[in-house]
Amino acid sequence: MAWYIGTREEVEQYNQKVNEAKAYKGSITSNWANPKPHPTDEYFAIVACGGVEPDEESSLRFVEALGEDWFATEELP
Amino acid sequence: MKLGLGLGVNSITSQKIGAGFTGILDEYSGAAAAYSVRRLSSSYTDGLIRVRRSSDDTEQDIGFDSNGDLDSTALLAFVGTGGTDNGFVTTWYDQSGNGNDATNATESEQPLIVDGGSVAQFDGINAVEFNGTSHELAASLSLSTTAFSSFSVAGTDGAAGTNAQAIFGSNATAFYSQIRSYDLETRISTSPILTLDDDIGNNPNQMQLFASINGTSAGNQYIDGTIGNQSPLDTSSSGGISETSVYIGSVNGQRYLGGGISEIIIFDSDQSSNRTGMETNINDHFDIYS
Repeated sequence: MAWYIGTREEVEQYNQKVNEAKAYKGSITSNWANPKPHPTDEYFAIVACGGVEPDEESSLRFVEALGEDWFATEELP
Repeated sequence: MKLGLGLGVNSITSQKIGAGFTGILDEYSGAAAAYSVRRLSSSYTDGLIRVRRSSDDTEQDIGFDSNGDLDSTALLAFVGTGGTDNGFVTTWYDQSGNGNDATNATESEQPLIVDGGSVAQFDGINAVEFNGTSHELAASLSLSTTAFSSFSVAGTDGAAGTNAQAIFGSNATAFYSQIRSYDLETRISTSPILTLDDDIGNNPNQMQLFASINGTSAGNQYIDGTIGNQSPLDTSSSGGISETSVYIGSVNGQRYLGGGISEIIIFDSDQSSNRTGMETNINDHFDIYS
């Protein structure tokens, strides 16, 4: 699964762009994706949608997959 | 025919209502929530799932066939049979009669039911596919109980290792049923901690029947009908569950399951006396173990 990485504002803008492109027709589906925060909260990621590119001025970075650092290790009982 | 769920077509095809059908919830009533790729009750006549197709993002309810199985013919007629045709579950309907439907309005978080033009299967069994990174469905399910029972038909793609993969759950510190380190772990309390651990081997890439029973004085867990060999903690002083929602395939955005789920039936009661009967019913239908 490919992702874009950037600031919260950038990934939210990308999500809005996908939603406008999709113009969902179903009664349930209304949103492309939710921003995924990095465990440090420094960056956010959002699933890339095929055929929808970020705006030219966006500094979102494309990655084929998120690194393991995006998935916090839990201390389980 | 089901009407009135917004845009698009909504027909539920091929279902034959009544005609001697007896489902597992007819024999064992009182479930708090019940999700499946088969019909579970003679009184349930609506869709099993609502599906969004990848070709144009329209949605349709899909019901059951004359055998009570997911209506694959209607499903593939709607989604398509080409290699790029995928169908995603937007709603997994609750068949308990309590209206606790599990939904997700976000496209990238919806699990699959048609994968490349074929009905999704896990270990040869029709199943809702979860990707282990983002897929989950959420239901408004109010549970306030110490007595608890659940029956799940599920499997994981690979070794669960030390990373937990949730079949369902609400809260990482209060309520979940998950696979971790080849164990089935079900937590039913915040304080004192109650974890029904289990040392029976969970087998990756294999569909299994997981049963968790928290009774009035003890709790036990079973995989494919075999009881866990680790004594469960004392349940008599459990604080119990107090939750208002439940997620399928995750615990509220974490511990995502990579694998398949075919059925989850949850009771806010002790089903010890019905356990073997329910396991037999489930195994007879899905042919999980011998």
